[in-house]
Amino acid sequence: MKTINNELRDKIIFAAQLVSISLIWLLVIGIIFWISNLIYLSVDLKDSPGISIGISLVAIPVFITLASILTYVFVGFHREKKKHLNTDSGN
Amino acid sequence: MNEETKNTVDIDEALYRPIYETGKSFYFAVGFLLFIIGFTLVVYIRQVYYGLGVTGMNQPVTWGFYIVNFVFFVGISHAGTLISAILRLSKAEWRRPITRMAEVITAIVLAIGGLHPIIDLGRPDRVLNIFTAGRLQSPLLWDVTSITAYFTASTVYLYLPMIPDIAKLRDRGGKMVWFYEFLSWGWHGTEHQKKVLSRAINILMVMVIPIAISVHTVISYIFSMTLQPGWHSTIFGPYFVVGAIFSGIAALMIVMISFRKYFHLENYLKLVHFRHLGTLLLIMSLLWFYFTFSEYLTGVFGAEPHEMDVIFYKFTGTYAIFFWGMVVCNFLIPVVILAFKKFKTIPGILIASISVVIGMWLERLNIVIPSLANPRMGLDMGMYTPSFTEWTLFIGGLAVFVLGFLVFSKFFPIISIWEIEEGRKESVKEVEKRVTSYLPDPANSVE
Repeated sequence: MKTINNELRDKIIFAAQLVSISLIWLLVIGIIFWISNLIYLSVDLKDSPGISIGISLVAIPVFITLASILTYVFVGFHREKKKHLNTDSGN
Repeated sequence: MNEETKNTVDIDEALYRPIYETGKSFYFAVGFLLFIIGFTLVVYIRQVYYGLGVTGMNQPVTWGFYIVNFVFFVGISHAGTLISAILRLSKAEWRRPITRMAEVITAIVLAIGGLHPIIDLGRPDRVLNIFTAGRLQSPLLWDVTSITAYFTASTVYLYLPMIPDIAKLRDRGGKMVWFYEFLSWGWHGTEHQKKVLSRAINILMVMVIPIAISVHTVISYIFSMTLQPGWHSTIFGPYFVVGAIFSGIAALMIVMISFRKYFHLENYLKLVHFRHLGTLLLIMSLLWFYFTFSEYLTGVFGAEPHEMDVIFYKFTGTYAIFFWGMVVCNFLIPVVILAFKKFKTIPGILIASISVVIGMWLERLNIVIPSLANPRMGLDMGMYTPSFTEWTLFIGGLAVFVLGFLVFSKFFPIISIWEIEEGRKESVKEVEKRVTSYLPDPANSVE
């Protein structure tokens, strides 16, 4: 019974972790949409669109890189966690 | 509890103690801070209800304490991530007990500072306009973007190096294991995980430095991109960055000294750490003076009438006490204390740090107000006196900072335990190897 509870607990925690990592991507996607909207506005109003595009070229990759680093760590840790658990159960 | 954890518990128990033992003073402090924050909230709601008329801001001084505090708090945030990243990058071994506190400062203070422009809005709901009708051509929007990027980067940079410590708390059991398990992301300290973490931290520390510099440069652009006397200056970007690092180091040392005393961390935060940071503070003080001198010399030499109005307002006019107070606090006091080994004790360094924090706040005041108080376009000279509302919100901001730190210390170690362990195991060998590599090869020296 305890094992089942532990398994369920692990699954819930993993799901919560997945949600948390998804939130950073949600933030990045939100920022990309926001900046794209501002670029569209500046093009529409013919109000220095070059500057808006220039800033977006710097800002968007920064957010994407940050989210990618977090995802890289998350995936890297969990792949190893699985191996670790398999080794433990094998023993 | 595994064997490795058991051993470290014995050695580094002092670092776990604040998490597992809670004294009455903690509850008293939290209660007192919550009371201040609650009162601040009431005062803020009153401001939203009655409008900005309850502040001391009026024509021509339309930016007051809120913008001063915005620049000040964001400046303090440079303590953390930037200093931590520089120390990590330069492999300064004495960084180990410092970096965590520095990173926490950034995350908390940046959140407080970032809220100030919203507080400055009479109608805070109008902040939503930046989503629908923002203009990316405006330095104000550059600020929103760069502060969001810096906050995201700083939070990630705080969180990732905390994972091994969170896993230690998970393995120790006790309260809230599920919380630590959720945050530890399955860390078991395997070689592969260490490699992944180290690679991620390395990328982040390189990335975070330009982001941090860009933030304060962009904040300076709010002022320097206007044609306002006293603001329109090409030196403002680096001047703001230097000031931010300067105030950041001072704030970091105040926090370190407070926690050292409160949590009895004398064995971790030694005089040598304060002396190294004190030397950095001294260098920043001299740099700050150099920038200030250059800034005002250019203005005085040019003697443009409107520029001179602002300069005289600061040198001999209404703001003279704040201007010269700034020079004393940012230059005279820290240089006298930090240049002499005799005064470079922990109490001496604390005095110098408090002096710098006050001085840098005065500097922000001296930048924001005098230029607005001396308008060029047919308006009378203005006088700004902050109201009770503004003072309360300022004190409330400081209370949030202290509360944030106290709450953090209740859940996580304020000194990175795994980095201290790593230092014990590997630092001596690594530094020896590094120093040996600097020295000339004996065989070649004979030749």
